[in-house]
Amino acid sequence: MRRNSQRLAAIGSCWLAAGATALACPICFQVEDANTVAGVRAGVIVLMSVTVVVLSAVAAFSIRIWRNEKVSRPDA
Amino acid sequence: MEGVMIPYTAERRPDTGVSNGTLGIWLFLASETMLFGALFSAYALLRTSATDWPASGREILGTTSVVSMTFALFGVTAMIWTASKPQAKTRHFPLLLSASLAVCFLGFKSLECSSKVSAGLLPSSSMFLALYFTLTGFHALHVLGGIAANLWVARGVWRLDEAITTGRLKALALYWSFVDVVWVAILVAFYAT
Repeated sequence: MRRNSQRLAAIGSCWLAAGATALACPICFQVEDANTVAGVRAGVIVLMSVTVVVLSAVAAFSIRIWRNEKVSRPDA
Repeated sequence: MEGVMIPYTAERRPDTGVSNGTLGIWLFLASETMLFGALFSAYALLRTSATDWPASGREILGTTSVVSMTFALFGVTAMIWTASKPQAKTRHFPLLLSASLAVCFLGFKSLECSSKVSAGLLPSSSMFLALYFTLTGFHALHVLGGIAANLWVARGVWRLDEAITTGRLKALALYWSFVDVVWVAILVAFYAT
C-alpha cells in the first residue's frame, strides 16, 4: 500500500516537472472564428433542449407515480 | 436468491397508470430521442459553423422521391393506428400493408442514395452530404427495425389473445409516430431549407 503511494507520488512529480505546454480546445479560449463559436453554441442549445424535454418527461412521470401511490395507499 | 418476476400482463398498472408494454416503449423512445438529439445537435453545430453550405437542399436532393417517401411513411403510421383500435376487424392486413409501405420507403430511399453516389456525391464530398447520409441512414435503420417489429407482431396475432395484441400494436404505433416525427425534422433540416 505504502509502496504504491510512493510510486504514484513519483509519477505525479515527474508529470508536474515535465513542464509540457498545456493543450486546450481553442473554443474555450475565445477563438476569433465567429462561425465556430456560433456553431458550438447552436449544438449545445439543441442538445440541452432535447435533454431538458426528456428529463422533464421523466420528472412528470415520477410525480405521477408518487401521487398515484399516495392516493392508493390506505393510510394516506 | 430468487429473481423478481414481472407478470406478463396487458392491463394498466394502478401505480404508473399505463401497462408495462406502454411504459417500456416510452422508455425506449426516450433513449431514441437522446440518440437523435445528439445527431441533430451535431447537425446544428456543423451547419452553423460551415463555411460552404448549399443555398437550397432541394437542388441537390430533388423533390419527387421525398413526396413519395413522406406519403409512404405517414401511411405506415396511419395503418398501424387503425389496426391498434380495439374495434378493428382485421389486424393482419394493415400490419402487412404497412410493412409493404415501409419497404417502399426504403426502396425510394435507396434509389435516392444510389443516384447521389453514382453522380459522385459522396458523404466525403461536403458537410451537407455527410450529415444527410448520416441522419437519413440512421432513420432508415429505424424504418428497417419497424418492419421487423411489424412482422413480429403480425406473427403473434394468431397465437396471442386480443389484449396483448392490442397492447403490442399501440406500442408499435407509438414507435412509428416517433419515426414520423424524426422524418419531419429531417425534411425541415435538409429539404425545406
